[in-house]
Amino acid sequence: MNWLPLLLSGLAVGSIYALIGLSLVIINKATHVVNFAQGEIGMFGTFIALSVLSATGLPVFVVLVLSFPIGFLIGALLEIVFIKPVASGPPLNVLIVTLGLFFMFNSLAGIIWGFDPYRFPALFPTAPIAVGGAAVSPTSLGIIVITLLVMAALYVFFEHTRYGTAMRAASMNPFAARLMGIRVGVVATVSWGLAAGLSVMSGILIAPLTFVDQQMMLAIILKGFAGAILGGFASLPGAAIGCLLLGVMEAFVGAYVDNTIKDSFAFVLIIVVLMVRPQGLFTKALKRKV
Amino acid sequence: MLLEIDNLSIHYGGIRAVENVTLSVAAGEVVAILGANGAGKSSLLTAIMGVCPGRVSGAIRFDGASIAGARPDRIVRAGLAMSPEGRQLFSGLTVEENLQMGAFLRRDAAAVKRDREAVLTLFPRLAERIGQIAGTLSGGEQQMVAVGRAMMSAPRLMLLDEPTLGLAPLIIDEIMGLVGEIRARGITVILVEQNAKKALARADHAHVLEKGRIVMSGSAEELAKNEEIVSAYLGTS
Repeated sequence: MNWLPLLLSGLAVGSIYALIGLSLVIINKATHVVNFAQGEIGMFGTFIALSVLSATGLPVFVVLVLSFPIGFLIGALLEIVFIKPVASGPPLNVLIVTLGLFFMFNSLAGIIWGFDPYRFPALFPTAPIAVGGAAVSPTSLGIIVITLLVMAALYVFFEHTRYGTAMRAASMNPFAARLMGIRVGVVATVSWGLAAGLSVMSGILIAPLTFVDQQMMLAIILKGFAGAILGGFASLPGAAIGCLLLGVMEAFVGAYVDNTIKDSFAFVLIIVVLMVRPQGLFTKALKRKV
Repeated sequence: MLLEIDNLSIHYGGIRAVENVTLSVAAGEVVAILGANGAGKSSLLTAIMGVCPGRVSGAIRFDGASIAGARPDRIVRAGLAMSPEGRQLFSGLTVEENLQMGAFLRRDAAAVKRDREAVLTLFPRLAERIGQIAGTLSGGEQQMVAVGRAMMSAPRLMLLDEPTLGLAPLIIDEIMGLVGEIRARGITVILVEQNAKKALARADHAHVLEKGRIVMSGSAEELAKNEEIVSAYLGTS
């Protein structure tokens, strides 16, 4: 049963990709750009969380829970200060601003916290637990469970609450949304807040496995982006499944084929998928509930 | 007067779409605004709702209070709603969700539920299609959703922008019949139409717009008597 730990570690890594991938899709639906700074917002938030941890000695789980509202505030503030002023221009202008934010956060983290990696305390027990004769990492399980809970919460919010539905409506038809009295500008701010909250959570979930430094999210945002495109960038569930799939495939290719090709494998696979299904694997199938 | 528009002008860049329009609408009336394509009818309505992308000058008062330059959510809250040209549904949402969005600003759940029932009684076809994605409905059904959605905000004044555009003749009569239904619910109506004959048959007063100016005004009865002149302005016959 050595496939089980592999599957779970793949799903865990895929969960991290999924949180970033979902952030990218949420912002894309509201602002019609890819936010290049998404990973760096997560990295910066993780640094803040680490500072809060060492300054207050709060339990690490409390910090994980707090990471969402803190990330939300960072994202909302960024949207108001940097994105809104250029939002009425062409999308390319907004794209350039997100690139600027990428470099701003990357350098700012280095200036504030230096360029050496920090260790982040473990969120879960480190001793493996035996499941059906296989040794399973509690960290993998924990990451998967937390991500699934977050996804379920997002699903309920977007599908079954008034404001979540209004956010989807504003993305489909901003003109009609304004006629309903939905403040489309506020929807954009909330979208950036949600996305940043998810990104900071993903940073904190991965931090105990890697290190905290200003490069920690570079590979992850690329994979999150790739996974989201693989599943279908227009759909939240599609993007999430694409990211999970990418994580699992990487794990198996790394274990059974060659660990050195797993990064490039991911992108080769995605190029092939996009040639065959430009809308992504799951966009049609999962576009809407019936 | 429920709605008073005074010297309203709208510019898009250097182009003037509406020029010094002055008109008023009394509570309970149906007022038709007629005109050819590009006469400025839609610009006028979007300016009233606060969603006109152009530069708007002049006064707009609703129930005595100025709404010129107000945010659309304040205008909706004041009691105005619009069924826009081309329906503009949330095409990926269900009929139910579209109606729910019409009541986005309302917090009185019980009254919203009553209004939903009323809309579904008025449009039994929507009751059958309540869970369907709005973009998959026929044109006539989509128009019903657009009108129903506007009704869900419980407006006192409803703006209907070209509700029959692109619909089959049988459906046109059905949709036009709605004007009476809406009025019977105590809602004042501004009806923008290219179809002068059908609009005049249901209106109390009418104004004809040409190139952004009002060129003819009067009771619907009077204008109906001069239908040739009206039609000439509309570029139809």
